[in-house]
Amino acid sequence: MQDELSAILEYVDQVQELDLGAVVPTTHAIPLENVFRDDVPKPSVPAELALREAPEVLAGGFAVPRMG
Amino acid sequence: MALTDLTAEQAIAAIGAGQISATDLVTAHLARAERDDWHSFLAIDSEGALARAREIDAMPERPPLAGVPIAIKDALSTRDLPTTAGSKILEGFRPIYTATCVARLEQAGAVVIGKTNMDEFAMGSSCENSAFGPSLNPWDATRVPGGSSGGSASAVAARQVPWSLGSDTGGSIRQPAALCGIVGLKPTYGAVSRYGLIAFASSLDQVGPFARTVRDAALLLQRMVGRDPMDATSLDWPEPIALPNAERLDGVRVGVIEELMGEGIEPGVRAACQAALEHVRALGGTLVPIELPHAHYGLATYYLIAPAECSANLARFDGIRYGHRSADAENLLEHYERTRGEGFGAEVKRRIMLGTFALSAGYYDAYYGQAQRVRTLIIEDFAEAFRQVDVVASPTSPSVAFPLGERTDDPLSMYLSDVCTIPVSLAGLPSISIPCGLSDGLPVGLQLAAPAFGENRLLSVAHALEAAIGFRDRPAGFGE
Amino acid sequence: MSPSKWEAVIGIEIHAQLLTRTKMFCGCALSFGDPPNTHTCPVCLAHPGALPVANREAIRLAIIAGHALGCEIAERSVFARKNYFYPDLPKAYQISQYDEPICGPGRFRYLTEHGEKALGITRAHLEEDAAKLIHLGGEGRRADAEGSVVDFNRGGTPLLEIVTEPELHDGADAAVFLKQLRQTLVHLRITDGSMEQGSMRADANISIRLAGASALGTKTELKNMNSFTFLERGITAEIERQIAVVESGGVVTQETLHYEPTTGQITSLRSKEEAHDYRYFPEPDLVPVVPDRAWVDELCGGLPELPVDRRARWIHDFGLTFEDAEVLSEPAQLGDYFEQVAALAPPKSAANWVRGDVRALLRERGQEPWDSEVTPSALAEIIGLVDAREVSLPSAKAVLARVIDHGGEPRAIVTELGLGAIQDEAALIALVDGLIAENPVQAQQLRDGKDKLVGFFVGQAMKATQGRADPARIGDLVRERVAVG
Repeated sequence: MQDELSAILEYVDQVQELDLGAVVPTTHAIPLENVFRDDVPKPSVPAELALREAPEVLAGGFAVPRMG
Repeated sequence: MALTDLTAEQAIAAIGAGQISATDLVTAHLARAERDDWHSFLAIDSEGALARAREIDAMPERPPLAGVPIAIKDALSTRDLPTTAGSKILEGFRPIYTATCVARLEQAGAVVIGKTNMDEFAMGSSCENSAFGPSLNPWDATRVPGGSSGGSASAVAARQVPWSLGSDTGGSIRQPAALCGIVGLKPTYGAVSRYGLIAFASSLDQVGPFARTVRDAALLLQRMVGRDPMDATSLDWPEPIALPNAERLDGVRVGVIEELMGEGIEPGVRAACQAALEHVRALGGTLVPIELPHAHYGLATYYLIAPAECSANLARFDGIRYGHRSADAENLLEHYERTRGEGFGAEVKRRIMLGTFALSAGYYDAYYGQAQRVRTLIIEDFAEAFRQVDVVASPTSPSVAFPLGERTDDPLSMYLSDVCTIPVSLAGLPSISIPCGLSDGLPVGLQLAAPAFGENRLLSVAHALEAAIGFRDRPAGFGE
Repeated sequence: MSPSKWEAVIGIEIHAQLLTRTKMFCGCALSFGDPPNTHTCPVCLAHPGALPVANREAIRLAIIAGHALGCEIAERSVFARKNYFYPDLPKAYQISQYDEPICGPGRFRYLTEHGEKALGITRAHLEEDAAKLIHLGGEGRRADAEGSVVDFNRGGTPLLEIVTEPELHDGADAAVFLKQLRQTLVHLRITDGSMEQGSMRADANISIRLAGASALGTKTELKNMNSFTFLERGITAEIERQIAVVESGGVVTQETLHYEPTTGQITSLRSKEEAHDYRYFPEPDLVPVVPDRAWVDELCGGLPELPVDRRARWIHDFGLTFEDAEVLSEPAQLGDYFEQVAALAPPKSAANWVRGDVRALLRERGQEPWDSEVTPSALAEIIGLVDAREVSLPSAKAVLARVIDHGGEPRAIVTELGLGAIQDEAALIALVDGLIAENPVQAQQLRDGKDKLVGFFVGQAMKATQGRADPARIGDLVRERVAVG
C-alpha cells in the first residue's frame, strides 16, 4: 500500500510545476447559482423504514457501540 | 432476427406494431441475463421485471419505452432491490428509495431486469476492483470489459439487454464502451440528476446510457435529462434531446486533439481512429488539429480532486445506519476502523487516503487547491478549442481491452487508461464513445466531445460518423 | 485575587436553531419531542446517493439576522464540508460554511446601564445541526451508559452560528449582551431562543492577560452553557481559575471545558492539542448563494424596530430607567402592550403600573397583560384617575383587580363601588384631627420625632375611609395637624 501510494503521490505532484496564484479554482465546472428548496414540509419516511437497513436497533434508535 | 438482436428503437417499433410483446422481449433477455457467462449482473429481478412487462402489455396505451428491458449499474439506488456499489460494505443493502433517473425511465416504460457489476464505488478502469469478481469482456473472456461500469457494458455487448445505465466520473462509461465495442455517453455535468447515484466524486459524476446505436443512446438520454429538485447541481435543460438523423457533416469542424494522438496511444488504436476520422472529410466536414495545452495535467488533477471528494463521500459508511458492521469492535474507534477496514477494498482505501491527504491542513492549497486551479485552465483550453471547432475527437482509450490481471499490481498503469477521457470530465462536457474499428480483433472506440449543453450536436455528429464507419463486427460466437 | 492586574478577554459563539418549518437540506419537518427517527428521509439519514438542497427560508432568516447584527451580507456565499467522524453526524461531515459565510463582519448594538455598547461580530453562517446521541441507563452519561443510540430527528435542523469578536471582559457583560442578542433574534422571529431546550446554545472563549497588554493569552473554550446565569457564573469561574493558575506559576492550556452549575466545577472535555483537522472544502453538491441585492434591501428595509433602538427610545424619550426598559421589553408582546399604554398615559406612570401591579395581579391569575381584560385604554383611564386625584392609590388597585376579574370601565367601577377619593380637605382635616385626638400616645411620640408613626395614622385613616383617602395627603396632614394640636 505504502509503495503504491508513494508512486501515486509522486505522479500527482506534477501539478506543483505550474505557477497558478492568480487562477480562480473551479468547484463547479458548469456554473450555477441560487438553487433552493421552498420551506414546505414533505412526508418523512416511517420509522420502520428508516431503521430497516440498520445493523443494530435499540429502543427505536440506531445502536452505537460502546462509546467509552 | 433474435429478440436480443433488436435495438431498443426497433423493439419499441415492433411492440408498437403489435409484432412482439414486452413480456416476450423481457423473457428473452432474462434468459441471457441468467446465463451470465460474463458476470455482468450482481442481481437479477426476474419476477419484478416480468410482472412489470405484463403490466405494460396490458396497458391500452404503451408508455414511450414500451417495456424494453434495461440493466442498471449497481451504483444507482433501486428501492428494495439489492444495491452494493460493487462493495462488501453494502452487501445485502436494499435502498429505501429509487434514483431519480431510474424512476424517470421506469415511468417511461423501461423494465429494470437487474443491477450490473462495477469497480467498487466506481473506482477503477477494468471492473477488477469489484468485491464480487470482475465482469468479462464478451469479445474475449480473458480480458477486462473496462470500468468502472464494466457490467453495464458487457451486458449490452453480450446482448443481455439492448441498453443499460452506467456512471462516468473520469471515463467509466466511455472507456468500457470502447473496450466492448458499443456506444457509451456521458452527458453535460448536471444534465442528468445524480439523486440516487452513490457518490464517488460529486463534481464529476454523471449517469449516462450504454447502447448499441447512437440513436438508442439518444432515446434513453431523452427520458432522463432535466432539472431534478432533489439535485441542486442538476440543470434546466434548454432544448429536448433530438433523435439524430444527420447523414452528412457539411461545415462541421472536428478538432483532433494532438496531445491524445501521439505516444501513449497504441498504434492499432490510433490507426483505427485516424481511419474513422477520414470519414469526416468524406461527409463534408473538416479536421482541425487542436491543442489542449494543459490536458496532460488532467490525470494528476483528477487523481487529486476525485479522491478528495470521495474521501468525504465514503465517510458515511460507518456501519450505523446501513451496511456492514464489524462484529468484534470493543469501542467506537475500533468499530469505525474494523467496519471500514473489512468493508472497503484496496483501491478504495488508497483513494480515501490520497484524498484525505490532499485536503489536510498544510497540504490543501498545494494539492486540492492547486488541482482546482489546473481544472480552470483545462476548462479554458476546451473553451478556446470550441471557438475554432464544433466537436473535438480523440481515441477513447489508449489501448484495447487488456488481459485480466495485467494492471492490477500497478495502480498508476491502471489510471493511465483514463488519460483520454479525464480532461473532458474535468470540464463537465458531454462526450460519447462510438466503436470505430478493430485492432488485433478487439474493438476500438472513438471519443467525441462537444461544448456544455451540446448533446444534440454531439449525437448528430456521432450518428453520421457511426453510419459512415459502418461498424458491424460482433464478438465471436454472437452469430450473424 | 488581584482583579485590576488582569484583564479577561471573552468571545462568544452562539448557535441558534432557525424558525423554519423544514430542515436545512431536506424537506423533513422539524421535530418537537416526537418519537425517535420519525422525522427522517434518505437525505438526513445520509443514505448512499442522497443529496442536499438548501432551504430558501433559512437563507432569508440568516440575511435578516445578519442585518440586525450590523453585518455585511456576502455578495457570494458558499457551503463547505466540515469532516469528522461521530455517530450523530451521518455523513461524517457537517455541511457548514467556511471561507465565504453568508454574513461578514458587523457590530451588534446593545444597551447597558452605562449606555449603548457595540460588540464586534466576526461572522455569522448557516450550518446543519447534528443528530441526537442518547445514552441509555447510567443517568444519561456517556461513561455509565448501557448502550447509546442515535435519533436523527434533530439531524439537519438549520442553525445560524454567530461568532463575536473577543471584546467582552467579564461574565456579567457577556450575559447582558447575550440576553439582548437573544431578544433581538426572537423579536425578529429568527429563532425561539430557548436556551433550556437547546434551540439556542452559547460557548465562550476565554483568556486572560495583564491589564494594558495587547497580545492575547491562551484561550479555553467553555461549552454549552444553557442559561444566562450559568453563562455569567461559568465565565467568572473560568477567569478566576485562569488567574489562579497563572498566579501560582502555571500556564493556561488550550482546552475545551465544561462548567457544572450545581458544583461550580470546571472540568476538561478534551485538549485542543488533539485539535481536529476538519479538512474544509467547498461543498460540491451545493451551488453558491448570490443574494440578489434588491431582495436583500427589501428584506432588511422592512424590519420592525430593533429592541436596542426601542429600549433606547424609552429611556431617552420616556425617561424610563435601564431596568424599566429591560423588564418591559421582554417578551416583545409586553413591550407592545406598554407602548400602547404609554400612548394614552404618562409613560413613566405607565411603566410603573405595567411593571408593578398589573403584572403582579395578572400573574396570580396566570394571565398576561395583552391577553387580559386590562386593555391599554382601561389602564390609561385608571392612571388618569389617580393622577387627577379622583381615586386614591389603594382604591385604584382595587379598581384594577375588578377590571381583571370582571372587565368593565374603570370610571364606572369607581362609581359603582363608591371608591371615589375623598377630596374634601375639610373632611380630611377633621378625620386627621379625630385620629390624633383618639391616639394621644402615638401623637405625642410623633411630636417627639418618631416619624415612623405617620404610618400608623395613615393606616388608621385608610381603615376609617376604606382606602378612599389618599395616603400621601393623609401623611402630610398628620404631620401638619399633630404640630398644631
